Amino acid sequence: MSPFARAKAGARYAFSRERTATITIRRLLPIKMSSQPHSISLAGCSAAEISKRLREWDPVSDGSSVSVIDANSPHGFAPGLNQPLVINVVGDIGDFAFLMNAGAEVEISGNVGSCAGHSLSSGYVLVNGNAGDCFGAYATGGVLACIGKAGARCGLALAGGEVVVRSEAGDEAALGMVDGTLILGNSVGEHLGAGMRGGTIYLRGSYKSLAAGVREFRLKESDTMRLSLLLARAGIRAAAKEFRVYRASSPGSIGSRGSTGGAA
Amino acid sequence: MSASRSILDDVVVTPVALMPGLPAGYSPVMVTAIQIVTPTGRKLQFGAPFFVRGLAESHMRTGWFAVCGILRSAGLPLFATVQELQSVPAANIPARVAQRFLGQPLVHDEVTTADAYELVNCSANGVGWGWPYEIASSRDLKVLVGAIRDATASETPIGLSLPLNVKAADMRTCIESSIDFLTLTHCSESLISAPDKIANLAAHGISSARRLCSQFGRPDLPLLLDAPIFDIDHVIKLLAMGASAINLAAIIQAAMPVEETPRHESKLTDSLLGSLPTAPKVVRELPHVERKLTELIRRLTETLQFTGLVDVADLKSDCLRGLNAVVADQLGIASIAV
Repeated sequence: MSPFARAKAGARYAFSRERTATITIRRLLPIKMSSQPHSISLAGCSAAEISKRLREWDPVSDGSSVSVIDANSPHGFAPGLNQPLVINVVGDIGDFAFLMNAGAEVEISGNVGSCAGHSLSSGYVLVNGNAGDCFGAYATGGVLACIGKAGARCGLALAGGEVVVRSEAGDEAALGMVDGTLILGNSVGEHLGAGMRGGTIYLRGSYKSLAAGVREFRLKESDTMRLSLLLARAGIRAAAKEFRVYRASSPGSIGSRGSTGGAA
Repeated sequence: MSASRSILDDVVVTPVALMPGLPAGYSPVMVTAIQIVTPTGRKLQFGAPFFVRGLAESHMRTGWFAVCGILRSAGLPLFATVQELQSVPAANIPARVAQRFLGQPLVHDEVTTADAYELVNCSANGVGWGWPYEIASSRDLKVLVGAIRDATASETPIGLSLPLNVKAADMRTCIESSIDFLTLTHCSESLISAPDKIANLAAHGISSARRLCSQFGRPDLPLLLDAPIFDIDHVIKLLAMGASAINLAAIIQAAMPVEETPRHESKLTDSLLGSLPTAPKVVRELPHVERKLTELIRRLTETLQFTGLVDVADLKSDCLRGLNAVVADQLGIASIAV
């Protein structure tokens, strides 16, 4: 089985357009953990205590899978993780979750606050609920996926990471984007791609306004392949051909907050 | 005041009142070091109230190793990236302060290997001051600072950088975010470039910032001043005005020997290798820079002795007098006429 087919087989969500043109989530397969997770309840723990426990977690002796329950919505959840852990967080968590994550594979069952996955350099963060503003900001690598809605400025200054938002996204998505990929599965707000200098936006729905200096490009075969792989990686089943591609008009040009408007 | 005269030239350092109960002939050891302390008590010690910020390896070229070695032996921190210090011998590597500029990601290795970390609210070329998009309130900044602190296990002091003409609201935001130090920077986009005008700006900026620190409940917050100050007297007066440490990059650059550009031989030679330009020789020692630094520390020690203080931290604005009422009023210090 090819890597793509294997990834596609593991897809857990799919886009399905209803009459109202909204996208609903359909779970295809149950969550699979790499091994029996060690559950730890962190109810009442401060962000610093949670960080300390996860940082001191030894994947060799303690097991590589951790299930964190009752996360109690702390802000600044588990920053700077660089162990090859598989973490399953049950509950909502606050702002700046998994800041500078460098290797951990994370699945969050609830919602996350602003700036989840800020400066992600490698690894994987999947949010099954909604994400706040600046989802996946400054990510230089790895994959971030949000199954619900994302707030304003998702993919802010994205610098090589891959961000997937399955539902709607707010204004100024891909603001100051330098490199990487932003996949938007539904409609997006105003000023899409403002200040964008590089990277690629794949948009399936409509935008309220497109920033000056950003334009639509033809969806090539390479785009379709890349998009399919990323969607499959995020556990989303969708037809890549439904997406449109947006990039900065010329490499290095700086888009501004123009309003050329028009929903596609 | 003439155009070339700085406001700092109209300020003098005076002895403070003698401490009661000090035995006659007591000669305490001068303390010229400062430290930045994290909430968990972890300290970054400066050998003297100076640091070097804005000197890049590419600017210094052949003298980079030597400058790093001087800073290391003097115990002064250097603002640099991991990459800039990669080629420097381990024995020459000073304490390193890493920076994250506006629009840049936080880099895990930079954060976790630095002796201190600074969030700079402007782009790497010194233009475009402002809060990053992800910081909408002081609460956001507090969470970010807390998260970086957790990532470093609270072992790395975390600071922020603001422009010299800092606004009260920005200062309040910084102080509420529980930072460990604040750097006030002369914007390179500023049109002000004359040394006397920079000194004026620095004097007003640092005295105003120190007042705001007291106003917002952090009177002892370490304030690092990053402005191109060349005059040693000005450096000492700025320390008294409230700066905890001063950037020496301008003084070091001024003391650097002029590098000869490698000559490209136009004459054709028999040997191919003979026609290639040779790499510049790496400078191992910089006696001018060392002398300048020694002089600076000597003058600071003399000033402490003159004022009757033992610790540079005690060098405060009450040691200063304005030569006229206008200057005294502007800087919030006493006038010599009083």
